[in-house]
Amino acid sequence: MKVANAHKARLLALVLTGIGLISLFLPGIRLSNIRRGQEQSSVQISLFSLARGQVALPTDAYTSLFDYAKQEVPGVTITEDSLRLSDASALPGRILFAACALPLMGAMLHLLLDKKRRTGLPIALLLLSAFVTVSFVFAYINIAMIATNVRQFQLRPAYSFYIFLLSVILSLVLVALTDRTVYRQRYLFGMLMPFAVWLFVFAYFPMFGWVLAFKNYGPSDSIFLLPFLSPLYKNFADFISSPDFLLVIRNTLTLNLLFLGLLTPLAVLLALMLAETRSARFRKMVQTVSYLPHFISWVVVASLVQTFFSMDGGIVNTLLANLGLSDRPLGFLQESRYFPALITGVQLWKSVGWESIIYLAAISSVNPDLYEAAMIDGASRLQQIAYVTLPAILPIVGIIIIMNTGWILSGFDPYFLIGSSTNRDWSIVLDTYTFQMGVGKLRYGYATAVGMFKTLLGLGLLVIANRVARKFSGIELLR
Amino acid sequence: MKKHALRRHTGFHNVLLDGFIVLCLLLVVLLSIYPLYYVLIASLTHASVLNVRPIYLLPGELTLANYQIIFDTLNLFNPLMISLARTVLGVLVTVLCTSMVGYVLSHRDLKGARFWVPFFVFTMYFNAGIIPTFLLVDGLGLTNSFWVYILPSVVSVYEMILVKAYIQNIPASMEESAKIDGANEVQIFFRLMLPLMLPILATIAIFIGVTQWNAWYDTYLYNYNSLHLWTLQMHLKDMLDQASSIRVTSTLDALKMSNRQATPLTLRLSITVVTTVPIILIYPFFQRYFISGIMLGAVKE
Repeated sequence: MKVANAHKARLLALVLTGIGLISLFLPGIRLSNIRRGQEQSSVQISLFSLARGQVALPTDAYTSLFDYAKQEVPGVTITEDSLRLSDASALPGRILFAACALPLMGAMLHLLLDKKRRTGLPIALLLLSAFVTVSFVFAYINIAMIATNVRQFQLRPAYSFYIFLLSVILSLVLVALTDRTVYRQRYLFGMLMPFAVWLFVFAYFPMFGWVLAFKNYGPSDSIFLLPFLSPLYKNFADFISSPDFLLVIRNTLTLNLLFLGLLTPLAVLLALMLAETRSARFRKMVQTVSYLPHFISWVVVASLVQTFFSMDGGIVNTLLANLGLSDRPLGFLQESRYFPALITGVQLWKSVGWESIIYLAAISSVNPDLYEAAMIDGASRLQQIAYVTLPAILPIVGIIIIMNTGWILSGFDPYFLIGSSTNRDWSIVLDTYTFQMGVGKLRYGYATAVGMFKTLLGLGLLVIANRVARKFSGIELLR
Repeated sequence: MKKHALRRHTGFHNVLLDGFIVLCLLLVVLLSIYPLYYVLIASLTHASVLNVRPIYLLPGELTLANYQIIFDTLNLFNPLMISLARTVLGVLVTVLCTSMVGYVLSHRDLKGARFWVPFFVFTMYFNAGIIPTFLLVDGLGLTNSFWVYILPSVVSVYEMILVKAYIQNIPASMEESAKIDGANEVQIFFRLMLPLMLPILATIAIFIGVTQWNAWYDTYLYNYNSLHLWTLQMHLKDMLDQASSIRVTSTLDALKMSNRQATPLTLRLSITVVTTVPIILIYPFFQRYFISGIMLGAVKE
């Protein structure tokens, strides 16, 4: 951007920031009285200001909410508790107000004074103030909702809140564009930013929900208002001291180790056999067929499993009976003792072919001269495999084994779809346990704690795996 | 590979080894294909036969009655359409958005590239967990809505990395010369890069399409109460549960009144086939793409 234009853009950003700041003193919350889906009346209240016509502290916006509620619904009972709550909410309100107003001022000042067009600090300050304000507005709405506790009232952000957001976003864009590199890459950023925002909303924003792990949240509670548990880590302590803990950890680790431990050797074996096949057409055919299970959904696989292993009419039981190997149907799907073998077999069925692709590629990139040399030395085919092929693909095998250990706590679909309540002893794993507690028993806080436990532990494992892999081969997995 | 080397191997030991390998591979083929084949022949068998004697290799009494029943009585046409819609729309949206982000992040000189790439990649290894995610999706009003199938997966990070790696292998001079001609990055992306990326776009379209077609969890968690938004996979998942088979049983009772025979098993088998057939039908066509795709991913890893 040309210097003159950059100057204009900064001025405009400054004005916009000012508008955003002022808009905070305009009505930002709208309380409507809804009856049978129709809005009867409404009042708009500013977050920080001149409620009831006088310069006042933030509390007063809150008080006027109650005045309005009382006036609209004469019978509404406002308990002493909720009043105390409103008082209590005033202090963090004021602190938060200062916290978001000051950065805005700071950003403005910085823009005025800085001649070097440094944009990092103003952008950070603008982002901070926008974030604090947005979360404050939603927290405030939440508090007011609970405190008034009258179903027919509806609280929403009102127009000045959107003015605030819009002016902050616009000034962010303008400030960013004064940076030379950003301006040169403005089309790239235009293509990137919508998805960056999308990613923030869908992947990063829910992490604030982790606060639930420290509360006893249920479906109709308010996330913000609910008191923290005492002690804070109660959900975690409950999980670790519950009899389920050892069971779940044992199952998760055993079943995953069993599966991953067999997956790599079998996939390498399949790749070796494919590489040794003389007919290219036969090799292609085997490859095609063995990759197919990877593309079959877990639901279909579970249906196949039920068809083959069920007690009444399952083909495996029928076959066993016809061959005279068993005199009564075996409960492969019901009894816990069959579950580890069953689930490992099914997962291997789905993955071995797919997993072999990468090893086959590694084998085909081995230098052919090595085989020539080995043959001149009189090595047989098996010896060539043992002394040329295997050592050559060992680094890849090592990396993939290390990479797989990072996922050792995961696994939902097969366990959830094939496991049942009768074989819970062996089929419950961390992911399905979280699901059962959260969705089945509606223990949101507890399930969040279990999920958080798993995510953090899993991330730790991944980081360790990454470190080991880097030491091992110089290749980094977490890019 | 090492063809000329192998050709010199003759003799008893080598023939034995070859024979052993062929046998093992045939076993792999049989294991991979038979479960699917069995479901197909069983679904083509009349329900009354299946109850009396087991079948292994050929259908008992050939009939399409089971398929008629699932489309007539269980009304499987709507879920089929939902599955198709989410797959087609999901592939279009996700391929476009993913390749766009991949293109942008392929620029090593992008301002803040050291932040943006990890910002995306981090989410592959880390998520907030089901309850916070559910609360978000619910808060955005996406529960009981078709858009929950599309919006949460607008960009697929793993596929984005594949695209990024692919573009970084295209000579940078192509983009530079387009820039000298006065094109901006948006024009370069749509007119120059998209055609150049076709092979990798085909690869990621396959992965995304299969994921969309096979998905059941989002329906189960977010759209359970909206029967009209159920996909084929969800219907099949529902039939796997003991409790829901009561509903199926009542359907079957109604069928008995009209003299058409079916059991929960035959219904489930035919739905399984209907759910699997599209994948198997397009499988030969996409086969050649995904191998190059996974190789690219492996090379980068």
